[in-house]
Amino acid sequence: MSAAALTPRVRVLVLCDEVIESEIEEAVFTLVGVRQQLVGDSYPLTASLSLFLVLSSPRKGAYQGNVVIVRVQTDKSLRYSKFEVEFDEDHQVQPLYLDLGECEFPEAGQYVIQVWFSPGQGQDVLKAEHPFDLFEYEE
Amino acid sequence: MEKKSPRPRIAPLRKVQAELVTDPAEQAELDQQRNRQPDVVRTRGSVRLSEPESPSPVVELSRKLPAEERQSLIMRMVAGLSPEMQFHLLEQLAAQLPADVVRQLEEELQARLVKAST
Repeated sequence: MSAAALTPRVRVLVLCDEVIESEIEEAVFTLVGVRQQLVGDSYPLTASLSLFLVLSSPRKGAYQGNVVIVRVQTDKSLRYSKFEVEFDEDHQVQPLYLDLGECEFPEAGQYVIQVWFSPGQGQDVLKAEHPFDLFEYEE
Repeated sequence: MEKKSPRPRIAPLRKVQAELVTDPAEQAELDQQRNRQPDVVRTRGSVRLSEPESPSPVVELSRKLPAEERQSLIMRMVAGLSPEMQFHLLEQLAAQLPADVVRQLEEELQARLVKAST
């Protein structure tokens, strides 16, 4: 079976500030500060980023993932972060609030957040991408 | 009566702190993996990071065929692929289908599985 089929599927990928789980309804979430862009006074710009992911897997188990921030203009990676996600049973859907911490961007431009998963053996597989833009404040 | 798909179990939200990779050797290894990824792989929300390649001569030739012959050609080519490659191809195609077509496909597959198990 292909490596892509052995890794979790990314059903949802949202760049946001906060995820709030409903207290009255199961599996319902409120996303705060959903963004497609960042605007900064000056560069390099440091921003605290979080992702809301909804993952699913046909097989239970723990999977190693990594999040890469890529600068589109140069196609160079700026930053790698690792995380682990666990599925307690087959065909489970796992919502994840992933805190990427403080991320530094050298200049304004187009960037992409990529989510990769490791199939255990063989090379990692790219499962989702989210493009976003960085701008400078204009007077 | 319409058969319903099994309802997936949705786990409670997990909050995870991603760990920054600072080891240059590990970064280099991840960069190598990233660069080895085939260009043809499409993902949810994908954007093109490099200039599009010029169309292959085979694709150009196939465009000259009538639609039904193109479909027949694709079916013959797909039949020659390994089950793993066929699965990967289906995954990519399913990601591009509209939601109502995916639902229809799901119902047909469910019906096929039920028929196969009886």
